[in-house]
Amino acid sequence: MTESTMNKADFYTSIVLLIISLGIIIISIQMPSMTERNESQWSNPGVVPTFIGIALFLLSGSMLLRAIKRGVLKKNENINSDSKNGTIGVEEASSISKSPDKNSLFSNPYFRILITIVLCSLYASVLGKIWFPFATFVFIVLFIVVFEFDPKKSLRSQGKKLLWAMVIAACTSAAVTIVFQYLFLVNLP
Amino acid sequence: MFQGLELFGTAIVSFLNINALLNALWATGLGIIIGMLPGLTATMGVALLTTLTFKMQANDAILVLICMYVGSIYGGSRSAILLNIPGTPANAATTLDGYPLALQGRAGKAIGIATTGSFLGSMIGMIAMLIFTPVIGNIALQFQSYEFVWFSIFGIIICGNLTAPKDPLKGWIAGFIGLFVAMIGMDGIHAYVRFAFGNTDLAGGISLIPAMVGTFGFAEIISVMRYQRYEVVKTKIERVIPKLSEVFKYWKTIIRSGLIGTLIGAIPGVGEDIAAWVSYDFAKRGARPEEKEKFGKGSVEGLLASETGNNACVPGAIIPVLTLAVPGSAPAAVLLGAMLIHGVRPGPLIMVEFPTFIYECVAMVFIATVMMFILGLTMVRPLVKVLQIPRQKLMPIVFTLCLIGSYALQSRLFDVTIMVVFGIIGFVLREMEYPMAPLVLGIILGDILDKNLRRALILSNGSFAPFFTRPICLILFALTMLVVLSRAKWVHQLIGSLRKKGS
Repeated sequence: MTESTMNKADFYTSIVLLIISLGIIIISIQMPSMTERNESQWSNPGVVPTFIGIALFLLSGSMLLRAIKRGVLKKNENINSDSKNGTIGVEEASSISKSPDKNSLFSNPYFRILITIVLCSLYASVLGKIWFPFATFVFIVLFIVVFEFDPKKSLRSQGKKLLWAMVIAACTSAAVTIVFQYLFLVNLP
Repeated sequence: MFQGLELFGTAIVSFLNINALLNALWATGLGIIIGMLPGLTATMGVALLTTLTFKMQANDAILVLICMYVGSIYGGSRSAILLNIPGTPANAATTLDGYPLALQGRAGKAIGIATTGSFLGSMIGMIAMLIFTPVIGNIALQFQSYEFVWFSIFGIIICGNLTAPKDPLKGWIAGFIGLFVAMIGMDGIHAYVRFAFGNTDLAGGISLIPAMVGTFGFAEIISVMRYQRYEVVKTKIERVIPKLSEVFKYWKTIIRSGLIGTLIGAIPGVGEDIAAWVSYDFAKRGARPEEKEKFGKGSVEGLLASETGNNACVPGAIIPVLTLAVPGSAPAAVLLGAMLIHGVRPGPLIMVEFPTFIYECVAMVFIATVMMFILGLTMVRPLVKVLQIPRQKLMPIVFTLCLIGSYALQSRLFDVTIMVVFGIIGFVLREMEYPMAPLVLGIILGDILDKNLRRALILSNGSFAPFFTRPICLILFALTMLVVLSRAKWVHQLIGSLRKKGS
């Protein structure tokens, strides 16, 4: 992230954190004092969350002030200064250097992040609904095929990749199921 | 002291059987492999093995986990040297001199130096653990609720400060977010459900292990999958075992880095990465002018310092786990969770309830270190092959283990959701340069802070005076203020203007 992007991110994060910390304080204050149970008022379950809420409020408040001090609210004069200068951030540079083909969608870091999150979240969400070994098999095959797929090559020439993916998926699925279900006696979802 | 040595000797003898040695061998080997694969960290390795060992006897399971911990922190040096990518964050400083050495065609020598440094670092840390754990354990017996409150706050502040040196504010915010996460669910005194919003799963609280597998495992998978591939440096690996004179020439650096690593390990939440950087920095400052020039270009002393520092941190991080039930690093946090699962209750009472356990842990570190040294020097070529496994084939298998590992501990599907949510949040926070160690430390310290602050206030009838009048409290308060004020700009400006006036 460039400095201006980070400053912007800090600004929005601090606002979110301020709202959350205010919520924590309000909910904590409303917790029962326990005096009706003849307990000390200091044993109130809201004491520590209130303290944490106040600390978080102060910390995010100072981050907000710092972001404003660094000029986040000023018109976007400097925001694109990096690109205007023709320079790029370290991260952008590294992504280019690590991506052999920057025109391909599959070498775009953001697309790869998105695909990883979507595939993994989907797999996690079907647990308990689909038989575990089958879900694992499908997930691993999909993961390998999606990331190894080369749009420039014909589908037929990539059949070997699919076969390998299926072998790896079958072995992993079987091994994990046997180890956890029969060795550790875990009731798999 | 002699009784301690005797107990240590007895503990070592008790582990000299085929079963324990085989366990140590496979766990250390697996640790080295996990450590050397970018994307698989020591924390993730220990967390995954926790789920694989929970049917074992307590001593066997903890031996396996310590072997995994020691092995993976060392294993990361392999990819740092051959790929210029640290296998675990602990080996980031190793890339500075390890990779240039590999480029110069001295990869074998670099691997040998890193292995010897890690071995010596672990040994120094182990000796410190043997001497200081019982001492700190006895001091910890004097800790009451007031002291634990300050210790929790100090832990968050120092951890946030050291893990986010550029922006400690983010470290502190991460720590307090962790403390808040620990507040979710039933409170420990009245069983009152907090911040669950009617959700029965949330009422049960957020378990540490799934949260850690998410922040250190899934977040790392997302991070690794961002780029397509890495290239292993093409070099012939010649002699690996270093000459003794080559290593002991730097005996001062070894001892200094070992002590720094152990000390940093003992500070709550501050892990091996900081230990390696600080050791490296001190070695650079203390080096002879002709050696100083080589730092960053392939200095043997630099490589030795970082590897000695990070491995010395491992036993150091276990010291507060045993004596205060507060982890010195993220993998130590999982180790703490594993000990609780296996019925060992670390903390101030450990010297009373499990008096021999401390020495058994020291013996486990010793066995793990010896295994690491043997495997590190002998399995060089086969281990290089592991680095060539494509990430798109490895990561789905790792995610499957993260997922089933999170589920297996309590057979709760909600833990899988926690793992995924913490993984995504952890990834986003890391992108915005929030360190994860204070967050995890906060989840552990939250419960300690919650119970002890309320207990202390009940005892003092609402008075805050004991928090500032008891000697240990005063020291912890002063240290906390010192850390906070040392990072405040206005304090620096004030000191500067006072100096100007003085001169």
